[in-house]
Amino acid sequence: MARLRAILIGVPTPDATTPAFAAADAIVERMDRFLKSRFEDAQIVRLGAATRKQDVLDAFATMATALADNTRFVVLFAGHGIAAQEGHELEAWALNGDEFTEDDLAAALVPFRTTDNIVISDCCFGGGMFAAGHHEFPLTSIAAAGADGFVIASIADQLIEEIIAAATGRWTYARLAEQFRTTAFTGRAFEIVTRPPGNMELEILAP
Amino acid sequence: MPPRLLRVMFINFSANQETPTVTAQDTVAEWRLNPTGTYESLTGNSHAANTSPWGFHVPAGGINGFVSMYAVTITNPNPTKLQILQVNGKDPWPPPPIPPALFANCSDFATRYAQFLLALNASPAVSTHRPSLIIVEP
Repeated sequence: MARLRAILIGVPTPDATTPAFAAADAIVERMDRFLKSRFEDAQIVRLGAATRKQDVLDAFATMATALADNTRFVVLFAGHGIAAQEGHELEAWALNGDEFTEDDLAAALVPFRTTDNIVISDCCFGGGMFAAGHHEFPLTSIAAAGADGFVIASIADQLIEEIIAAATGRWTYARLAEQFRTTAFTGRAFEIVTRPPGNMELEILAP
Repeated sequence: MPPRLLRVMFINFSANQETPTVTAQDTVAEWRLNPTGTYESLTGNSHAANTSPWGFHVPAGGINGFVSMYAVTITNPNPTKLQILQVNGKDPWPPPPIPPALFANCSDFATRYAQFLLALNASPAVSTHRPSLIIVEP
């Protein structure tokens, strides 16, 4: 039986002017309940609307203690994403007046070399969060959109449902990825990459 | 070329289906705004990137739309009855119009209108650049 450590972040909006992604809280709640029902030894940190970068770093630091080889480490972000573009060269998760970049994620994951890491980036440009770092240790990245893509709120909501349904059905990551490829949302929504590539044949979030 | 997000909304005040002509550079999917239940749904129609201009069907009294990462070209066949709005993904729609026919009895039209095609991108909160410090793993 694997141990489960998770950081679940839901930030509906980073500021007063960006339309709120109201489902962010519900996505976190849905994943929280699913993980607790699936793993007997589950330790989960939830971060909400007021989350700032230091809060995320603190959560990673907390989770990095007392790791064991049979630990699955899940990080979920639901909210707005920030594109890498001119004048802002890093992909990022939009926090409360703050942001958590792809470099921040790569650095935060370094202590998690011995765990099975699954990071879900449920936001626009989410795939770009995995560009930085070497990630030579096990890492499964699930993104609602590629590095150059956006995702509509109602589709992002669906991503978590797809993951949970597939995990419940004991699908492999490869099977879910194939379903994503053949689902015609915009032609580029939802992608899964595992490192090493052979981990695509593993069962999704196996308990 | 940095990613650019464009949200496009068609509001049909006509009693007939209207079919503007659209040319887009990327693959786009058609969405409809719903008067009840979930705010929006895919119509099931999508158009591959760089195809020749295609007709975008907007039902009588309905509101449909799509999102593209690039500028699009649209020809409006009935400017007096078909309103076409374009905003950047992070920007709000302009104030809602009088609801078209399919939304005449919709109690939360303004909310639905504001949420239509909400894309999950945001402006940068802080300016960051590629760091000179490279993460080196042992």
